[in-house]
Amino acid sequence: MLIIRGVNVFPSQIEAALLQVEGTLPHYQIILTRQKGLDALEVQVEVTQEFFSDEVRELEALHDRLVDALDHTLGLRVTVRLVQPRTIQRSEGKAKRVIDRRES
Amino acid sequence: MMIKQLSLFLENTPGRIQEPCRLLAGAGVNIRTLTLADTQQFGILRLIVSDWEKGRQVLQDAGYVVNVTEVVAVEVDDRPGAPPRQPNQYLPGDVDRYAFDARKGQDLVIAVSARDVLTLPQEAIQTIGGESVVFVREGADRFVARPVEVGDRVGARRAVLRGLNGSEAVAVAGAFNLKAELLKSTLSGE
Repeated sequence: MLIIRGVNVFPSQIEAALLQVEGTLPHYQIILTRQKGLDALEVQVEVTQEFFSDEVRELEALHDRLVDALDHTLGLRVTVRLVQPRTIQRSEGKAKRVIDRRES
Repeated sequence: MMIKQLSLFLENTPGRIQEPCRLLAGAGVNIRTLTLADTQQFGILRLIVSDWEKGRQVLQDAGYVVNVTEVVAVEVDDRPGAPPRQPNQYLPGDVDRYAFDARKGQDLVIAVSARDVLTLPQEAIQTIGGESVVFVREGADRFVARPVEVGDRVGARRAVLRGLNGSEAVAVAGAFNLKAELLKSTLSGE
């Protein structure tokens, strides 16, 4: 479990939100940083063939749907970044989904 | 003329455009023209290449998500306000989303509109009360008049700019009869 700005966040909640929007689970990664003393959570989501559209508008709509779904399930505004496929590191065995860059 | 366009998703960070170009060059695929649509986070690189199938293969193998869309190519002279070379070619007044230009020979330019221009045979479009309508099939033998906005003529066909999404079945040869029936029924109803 992660605690972001005092809110408890389970990675499985993030997974559920992504699943809800995309139907299948895309490769994703959670990056935690601290900006001006506040925790920030960024979810990086790989764009898949099914969700790639030639239209900027549609990609932005996908981005917004992801933000809304995450907002809804977590009760927390997070940043979503669409990234190129295969840019999120594949790990053997258990996937390393959370990268915590907050210094404690 | 329809040609294939490749679009790929890129993150908007420095140097991103290099790799796809290098990949295409390595495969001997020539980029005829390209355009880039970008937002703060990401961009879409749209390419017209000499061999789209090979180009797509190379890029997909490298892990890119590639979309293939058909775009309309129109040849025009390279001067202001030049009409399409082929008289029955349709150059949409609103090449709304984006346009490419690629040189072909000395001073000929191909303008490309990504908007698929939907066209219908002239007889499918009827006018009722000054409004253009087409008869869309809804059910086994039920047709419903739907108002559309028509554009220019495209040969024997006519561009339909608004009102249809392209998936509807539309009455063509019988459209005039349907209009007659419709007018008859409204008349007898009064």
